[in-house]
Amino acid sequence: MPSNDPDLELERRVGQRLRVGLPVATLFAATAVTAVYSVGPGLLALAAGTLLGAITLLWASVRSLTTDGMVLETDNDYEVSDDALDRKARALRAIKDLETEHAFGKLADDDYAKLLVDYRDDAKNALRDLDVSLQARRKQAEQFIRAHLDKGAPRKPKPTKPASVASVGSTKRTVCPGCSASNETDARFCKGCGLALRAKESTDAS
Amino acid sequence: MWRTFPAFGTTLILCIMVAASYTFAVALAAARTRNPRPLVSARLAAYGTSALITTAVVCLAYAFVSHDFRLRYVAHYSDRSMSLPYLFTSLWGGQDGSLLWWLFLLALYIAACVRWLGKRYVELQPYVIATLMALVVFFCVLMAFSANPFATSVAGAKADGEGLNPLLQNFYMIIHPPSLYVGFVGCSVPFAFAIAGLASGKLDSEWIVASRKWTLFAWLFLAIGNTLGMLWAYEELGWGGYWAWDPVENAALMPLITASAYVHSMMIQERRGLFKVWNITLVSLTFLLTIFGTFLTRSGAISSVHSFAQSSIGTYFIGFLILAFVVTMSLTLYRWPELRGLAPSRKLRVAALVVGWAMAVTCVPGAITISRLPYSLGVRVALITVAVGACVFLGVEVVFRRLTAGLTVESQRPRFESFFSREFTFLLNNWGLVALLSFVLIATTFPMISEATTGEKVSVGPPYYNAWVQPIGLLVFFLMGIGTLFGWKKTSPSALRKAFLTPVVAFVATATLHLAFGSRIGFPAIVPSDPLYAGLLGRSLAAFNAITPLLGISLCVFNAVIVIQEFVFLLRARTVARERTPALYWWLGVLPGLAHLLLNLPGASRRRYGGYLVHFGIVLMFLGFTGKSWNLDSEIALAPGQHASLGHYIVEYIGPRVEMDETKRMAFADLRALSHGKEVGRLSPAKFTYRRAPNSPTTEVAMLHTLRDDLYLVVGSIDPQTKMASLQIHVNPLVSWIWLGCLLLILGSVVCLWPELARVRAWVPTRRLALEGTPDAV
Repeated sequence: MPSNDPDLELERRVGQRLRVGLPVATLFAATAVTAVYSVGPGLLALAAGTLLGAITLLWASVRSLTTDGMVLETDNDYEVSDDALDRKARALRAIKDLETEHAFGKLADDDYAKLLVDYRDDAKNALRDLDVSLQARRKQAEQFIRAHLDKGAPRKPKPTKPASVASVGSTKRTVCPGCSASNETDARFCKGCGLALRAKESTDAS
Repeated sequence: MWRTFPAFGTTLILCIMVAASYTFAVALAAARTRNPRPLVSARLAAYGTSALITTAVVCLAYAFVSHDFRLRYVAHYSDRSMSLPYLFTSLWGGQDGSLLWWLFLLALYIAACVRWLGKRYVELQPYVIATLMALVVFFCVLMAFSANPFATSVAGAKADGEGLNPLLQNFYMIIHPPSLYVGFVGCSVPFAFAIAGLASGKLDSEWIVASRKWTLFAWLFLAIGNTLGMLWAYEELGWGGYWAWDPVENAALMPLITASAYVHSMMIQERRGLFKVWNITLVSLTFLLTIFGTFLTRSGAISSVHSFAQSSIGTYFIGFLILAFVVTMSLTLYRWPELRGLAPSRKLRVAALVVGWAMAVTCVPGAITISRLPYSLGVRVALITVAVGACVFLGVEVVFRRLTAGLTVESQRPRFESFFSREFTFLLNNWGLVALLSFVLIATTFPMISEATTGEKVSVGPPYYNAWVQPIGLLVFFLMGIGTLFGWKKTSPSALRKAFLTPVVAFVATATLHLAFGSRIGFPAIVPSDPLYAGLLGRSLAAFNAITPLLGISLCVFNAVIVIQEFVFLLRARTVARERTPALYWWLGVLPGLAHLLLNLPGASRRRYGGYLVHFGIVLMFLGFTGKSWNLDSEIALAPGQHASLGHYIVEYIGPRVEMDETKRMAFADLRALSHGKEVGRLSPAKFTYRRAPNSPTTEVAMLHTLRDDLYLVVGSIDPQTKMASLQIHVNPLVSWIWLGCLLLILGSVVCLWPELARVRAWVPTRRLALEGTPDAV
């Protein structure tokens, strides 16, 4: 937060220096005093340092409430949680568990297939809700991505042949023609290389 | 030394109180305004309060190091002859200092937690800070008005202090209280998250995920603290055992039981959104039990070996306990709609608050009144059950339904997929742990309960604990293994048959071998004991306890095989997924290979297998506990040259020896231990008489540790004329396995707590381990 007030500017600079300088100076002083004198005076030096730190921090707290004074922490960039994010995480976690239990032979193929569909639906719904809640920032996000791609990030290869559907174990899978990764049958993009697996269509896949 | 130092210390405590109150207010303002600036201010103030608390602790340490005997606490718990490490130990050696030490650990937790929270969990953060600050204020009030470590002696400064209790001057006492305190204080952080969840209404799994590592950390230190307490009792108290069901030991055990239940049930909320009320209850109970434990230690309400810690501050703790309970219960009732997946409405909240509190204030006094009626115990228990049942029925089915008429009160929350799932076995395990807690809680507070109901103080002795805890403990132990065999969501019958086959075969084979050969190797499968009660109950308990050794050993093998089987499944899955630990690590020994395997697993799997390691540690600890069934004890007086035999040991008394140092007189009895005709060691149990406490000599145990058993020698007295020594000889089988189990438990917990590696690195094994498909392609 830029400010034209030189006093505030000075206070902010002092705050930034004290952030690192005070703990280092305190530890150094306490060690040096202990080495030269004894443990007792060393402890006093430590107490003095922590007291100074406490005063600085409490002062910074009061100032950051009232003005743009001493800044030890900025107040931007706070993450905001979203209910849909939580539901997405839980559904993905459930799918992960199902896959692990299935891989370890604790879950029968039929149950696995049935439960997987349920949890994939949950995850899709959560992702859809997330998309809706993030709609306002979509353009901004697309700009970021475009800027990143323009910087020289490798382009995704164009599909050269249609993706094939293969049966792996008991579940049907789609094999990516680009990298041979095994994908879900309703996947629109390969999870290995990001290749488009099928043309854009009005499916419910995200 | 400056003259106003004691006043400076007291002022510091008052300043902490003011700073914490300010932080509390700013944090609440941040929560209310949802403006980041007050939150930044609250975070800074929380750091500042922590720094101020650190200053106070360092000042007290300075007072000890500089022998400032003007301070009553310093004069009481230290003297000029004490070495520097013990002077620091004195910081928590007595009550006033241990409260400041508690506050200091809380300050460390606060600073670490605020730092860790960073810019995440903005809705929870202000309430987390406010809850922790409320705790700081409580401890400051306690110190400022009742237990000030900077208070001065009325009689003025002494020339020398009284010194620390000799019992507390040993290595385990340096590390046992701090580790237990780290566990106790650590329980405040998950509690603060639970309160934050309740206060903010964010009752999905966010608070659970946020507090997970803090919970595991607190759980680990509770476990370490309890084990170190056992070690201290075993090595220092010299009565031959490690656990005496002392009220203070129980007070430390109870939060560990609820925390163990919680670390399992939180997984279900995280995965399925179930058990929301249950998790809040367990976290709150764990925290309240830490406060209750401190109340037990400090109030002197129940007599204990920890009597050196008694004082009048118990009333403060009971007051705080009631306040914390009222706040938690009110918030839980207020958030009842969110917790039960109902549409929130004012009417529903009011109904939940009214019915909940009405039931609480009716049931508790009602139950106490009935318990005082002049009927037999059975009739009174039946009456209480009927009365409480009727009260709950009336409250829920009549009053609640009437108050919520017209509202949908059918819960929308998710349900169990199947009873054959890990979720359900976890629920059973939770019930088992709560049953164990209920027994320990009732038995510990029985003197208070009996005094309130019959006017007579009746204590529950160790034989009663042992008789009841063995069946409950073995049930929980059995459920621990069973839970691992089931998969999440639903387990197919064929998979269950496959999973159970090897462990059950191992169980049956062990039981058969034990029955056949147990007696020959000195570990009989059945050890009969006298019934504690007359009638069927006493006979049933005695019969069960007689087969405890058989069940204990067989269940240990059952559980060990289950854990090994899980690791075999993992290795197989990794082999299929072409994800192998380099052979070099395995050649270097099992540990590097295991470490590589575990630490390269993705977060969720790592916690799972870390948990299995913890289970294996618990198996080893149970092996040690089972060994108690075969303890051999003997008391004998020996003249030099004479010997005594116990089990496979022969103990030969060589003669007495006396040594002196600056602080104490040490009288040793030198002994030679032989096993099967061969000398296995020389032992010198002793009596130390400290100059400062000539009337209370301490017992110094001498021990010979082996994996099979410990030879444990205690000298009662040595006659200076005849040189006769009266000795207690104990042979304690399998005790070393308890300490080994604890080491494995620590190792497993560290695996669970291991920080997440770079996301990219973590994803590689995740993708491969899943064999086919990952959820990110949804």
